[in-house]
Amino acid sequence: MVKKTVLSLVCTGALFAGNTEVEELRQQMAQLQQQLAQMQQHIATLEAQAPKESAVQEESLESMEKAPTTSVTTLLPDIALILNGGYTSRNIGNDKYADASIPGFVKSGDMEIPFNAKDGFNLNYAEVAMSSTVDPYLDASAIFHIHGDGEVEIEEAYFVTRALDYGFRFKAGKFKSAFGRVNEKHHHAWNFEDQELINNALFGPDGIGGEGAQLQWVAPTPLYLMAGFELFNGNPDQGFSAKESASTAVGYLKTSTDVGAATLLAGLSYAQGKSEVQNLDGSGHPIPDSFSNYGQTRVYGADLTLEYPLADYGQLIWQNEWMQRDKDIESMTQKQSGYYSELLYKIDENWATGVRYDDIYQNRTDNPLTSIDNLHRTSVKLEYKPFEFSRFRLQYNQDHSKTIDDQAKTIHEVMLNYTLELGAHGAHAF
Amino acid sequence: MKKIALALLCSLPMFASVHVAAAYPYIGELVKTVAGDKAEVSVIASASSDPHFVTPRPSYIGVLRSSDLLILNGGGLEIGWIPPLLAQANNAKIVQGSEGYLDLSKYVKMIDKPASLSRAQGDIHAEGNPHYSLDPHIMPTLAKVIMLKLSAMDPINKNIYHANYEAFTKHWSEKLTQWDVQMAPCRNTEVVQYHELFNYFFNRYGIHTAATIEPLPGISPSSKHTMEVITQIRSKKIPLIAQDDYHEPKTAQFIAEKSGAKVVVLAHDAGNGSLDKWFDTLVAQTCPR
Repeated sequence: MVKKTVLSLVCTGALFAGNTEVEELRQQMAQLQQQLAQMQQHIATLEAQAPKESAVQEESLESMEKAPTTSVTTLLPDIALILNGGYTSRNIGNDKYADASIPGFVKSGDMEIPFNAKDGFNLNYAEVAMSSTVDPYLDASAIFHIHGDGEVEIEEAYFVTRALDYGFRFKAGKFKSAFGRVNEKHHHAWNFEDQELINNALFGPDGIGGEGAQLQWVAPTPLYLMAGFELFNGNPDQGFSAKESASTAVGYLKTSTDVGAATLLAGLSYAQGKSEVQNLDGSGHPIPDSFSNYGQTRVYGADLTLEYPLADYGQLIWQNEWMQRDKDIESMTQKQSGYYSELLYKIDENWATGVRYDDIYQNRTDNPLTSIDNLHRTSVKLEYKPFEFSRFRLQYNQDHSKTIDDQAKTIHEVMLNYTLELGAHGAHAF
Repeated sequence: MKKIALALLCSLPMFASVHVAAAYPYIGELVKTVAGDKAEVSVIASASSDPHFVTPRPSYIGVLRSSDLLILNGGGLEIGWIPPLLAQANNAKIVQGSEGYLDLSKYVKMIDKPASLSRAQGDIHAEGNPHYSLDPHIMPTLAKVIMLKLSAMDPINKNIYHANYEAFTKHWSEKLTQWDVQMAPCRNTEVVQYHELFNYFFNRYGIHTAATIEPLPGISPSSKHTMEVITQIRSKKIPLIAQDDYHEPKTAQFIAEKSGAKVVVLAHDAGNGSLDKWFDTLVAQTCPR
């Protein structure tokens, strides 16, 4: 209120001012008008310099592409051939080795030995892997595993979705389960020439897997968190019943965090299916193809891996996995547990070494003769990779996990193997 | 009270319109230059590691899972590490063929394309030498590609991207003139490098690579080849051995001791410094006044 009064007083005062002052005001007005005109002109030039919308639109990314290098061959699937073989030496003969058993897990004569079975030279396999994008929505892969004796097996054949929303991915076909840390990996990607003991004892040489479906989800968080669920046809070779089309269900949760330069990976896994027990005749011998079901088989798994990078492509990896199987049988619930721990030292691009300790420390079954709970094995290896796609590996095992003719027998074995990867080769995951 | 709430809101990165995952640091620098605060950039590989063999870490999956745009160098450089990460990230926005998948090599004319392909020649790249980011004259093209991609994905901020791009090209052309002048005296000289990593840089400035320390791409040095390199340096009086950040430095040191050439460790990527600093240093190291 006061301010307004003062302002009006000043204005009225100006009206009564002399002629000279009016002239000054006029001159100031003229100057202001001139400045205004200059500013308008300046704005106009600025506008002209500013980017025109149309200019931005005219240039498209497509027009900037260099001549495409596409050829017809790029539409063919990626094809890779993987060869593995070597020379093995053992302190027992081939027949004895083939009849060995893992007490409480694998009966004598049931042992499958897909790799390095013979004392002497072995061609373990030639594996043909093909993969391609099917369409904008699906990728597909097939891996044909040709054994040294010529038997061909479809190791995996599946499709995976490419672009589901909300972080989901669906897979179906025949494939290996992502249970635990190593189950999903193929032989040529294993850290040692043979399978980890607890994996072999519980699930057999192929691990959990087969015809089935998988759904995985990755959380939209900076921290890696992945959850997965799978269903497979039950498979007695993997410790689950196939009776009346029973299914094996698998679930897991995996996470990882970076601690400085180190990477920590951890996972929890669970598998469940029907139990299956072979029926025995009056004198206690198994009746072929005769099985009974008693409740459920549950497998719990936990894994922890620490990776630390070193100079010159070096890396230190400490990988651990633990599993326990609770299997309902007629009289009791069998409890069998084991773990492995391996320390791998990648020295540089070409050289790597490592040690592994396997242990089955709990083996409670209904047969006291097979309830041996100190099955263990120690392995050491030395690897030379002349190039990214070739690897020579020398491994020694001292194996206390097997019995031969119902007698505990320490097996010493030395294996020298080659693994060659030809053709298109996809990268390995961590 | 309101002011505090507003200040808090402003400090959140929610104003970044596009989440960008950049495969390499130089791509991250380009995105920052073009997008300013309109994009949030996560760089995956570090500047000191081998760009061919970045050790995949699951934390990278976390980055890829929440990105709207993945920008790759391309030309096969990431073939050894990006595909499994991308497959496991389950992010439909950035899979190959989607709008959020940008392969910069498609917009660059690559050199050293092999006439025939065989792994007997070592780890060769079928599409040509993928280390094109070492040519400073290619940067404006890359910036333009990124500007156009961001403009298409986030049209609201189109003018900002364009203005930033214009400012960058203006600044960069001044820098190019400066570097061209500084490098001119070194034209028609020769150099030895470990891997054919700096070909684009040396080619741009007329520096010829007489030999590489590795006998073939991806093959570790052999004593026979090392002796040949030493002989070649001595006879041609080659002054410089360009070592990179990730290959073992011993062979280069050995060659230097035996031949009298000088080893310089050159950065193959922008690192934490700016793009300017990266090339300023490269120029100063390879053609000291």
